Amino acid sequence: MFSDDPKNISWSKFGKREVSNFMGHEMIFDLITHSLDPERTKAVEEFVASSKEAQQDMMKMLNGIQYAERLSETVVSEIILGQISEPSTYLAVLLKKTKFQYWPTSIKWALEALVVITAMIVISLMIPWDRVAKFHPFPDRKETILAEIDKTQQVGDPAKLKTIELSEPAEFTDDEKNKPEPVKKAKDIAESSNQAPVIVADVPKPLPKTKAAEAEAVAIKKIGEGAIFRGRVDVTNLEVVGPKIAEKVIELGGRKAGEVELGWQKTPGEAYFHFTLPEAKYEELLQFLGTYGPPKIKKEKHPRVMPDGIIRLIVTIDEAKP
Amino acid sequence: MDEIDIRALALFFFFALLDDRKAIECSIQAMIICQDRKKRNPNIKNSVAVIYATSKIWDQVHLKFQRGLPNSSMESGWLVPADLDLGSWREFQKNATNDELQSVIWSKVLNYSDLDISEALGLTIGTVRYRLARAYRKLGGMTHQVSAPLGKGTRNV
Repeated sequence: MFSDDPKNISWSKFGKREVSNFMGHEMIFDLITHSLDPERTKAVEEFVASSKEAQQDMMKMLNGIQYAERLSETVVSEIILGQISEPSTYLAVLLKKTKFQYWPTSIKWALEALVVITAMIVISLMIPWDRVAKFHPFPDRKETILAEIDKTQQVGDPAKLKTIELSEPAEFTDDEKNKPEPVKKAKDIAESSNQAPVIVADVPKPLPKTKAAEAEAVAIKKIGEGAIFRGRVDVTNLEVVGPKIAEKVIELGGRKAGEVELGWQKTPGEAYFHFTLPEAKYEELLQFLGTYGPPKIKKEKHPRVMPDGIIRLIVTIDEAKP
Repeated sequence: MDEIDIRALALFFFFALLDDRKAIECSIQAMIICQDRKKRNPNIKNSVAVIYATSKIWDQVHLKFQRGLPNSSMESGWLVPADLDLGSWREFQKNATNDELQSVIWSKVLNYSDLDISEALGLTIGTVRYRLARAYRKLGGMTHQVSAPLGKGTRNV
């Protein structure tokens, strides 16, 4: 039984403050390092003296401490201290060890070139070229385009082809006036109008190899295979010259293309001619236009494909500035 | 950071890794951490900064190498006492836990106080002392020198 009065604390039967075996072992290190109060010190010393196992444990600790103290006498050379206090990069260490600065200049340059070439090869291999090749800023232009065809001829076996009757020739749309619309499927066109026969892109069976069919096969082309002649002519007195040019175009066999008439007054001082013309008459037209002013007409790639022998032109006749 | 601290860094990694080249590399990294620590808290003791930095680097590198492997280039530039057999230390370095290994180096090789160790690691002094006792017992068991007297073991250390 314990008492609140320290004087009446019941110690062991010998009146001493003895420690248990477990506590004794745990306090050996404290004994060695003088971390115990005098009473505890005395108790642990008596425990150690009475226990051979505790003595061996104490000896181990003392040996360990003694050994570790000897390790602290190790001397580190000035060179090593210098390396640590002035750290350098791995690259610097590599260059220093390989004595790069003493290498011949030609070898240095060759090595640098090799590094650059290697880097370029690695970069070129890492770039996804297949994605780059497929990348196109105008994805809509990749779609197939329904183009002008000859509607008057009978095409193969009518039962095998999807055709529609057109009441009048197919018309071009003005590039300037109308924005390009999404390409409709031929099926949709066939359903929505009763117009001249048009070959559709998704005919399931191949066409019979007739002349008409071969001509119609041109109707569906991919981008970049067609062309358009686009340009301008500066003339004086546009009000008079404009109708004359329109008459000449018609005389040469030209037909208006698009929705506006030939010589449409786009803006004051600017007449717009969008028409088709037999290719053989092109030079004659240029000569005629040249009488009013130098024609500046260029052939450009265009997704729309014209039948053989027919060309399409968009010519702007401007009032020459004084 | 003065020369004593740089020496402490070098000795810690030399005895912890037993590889002079890796010891220098790790010391350089620990030096950077020490300087950063001092910059953030100028009042911090150098010993605490060294213990903190060495502990950080040790945590990063101790899994990357296998302990106890002989290193032919060891001791080049490191002057270990001639009569000291490093075999016991090599055995201890191979078998001791990380806590034991670090505690012994900080406490007896670098002579840092238990208070500094506990402050740097965020531990109680009791924990530090417990680790030390365990480590000395293990290290002493691997040495063959028995020089302390039996009986009243109050050898001043």
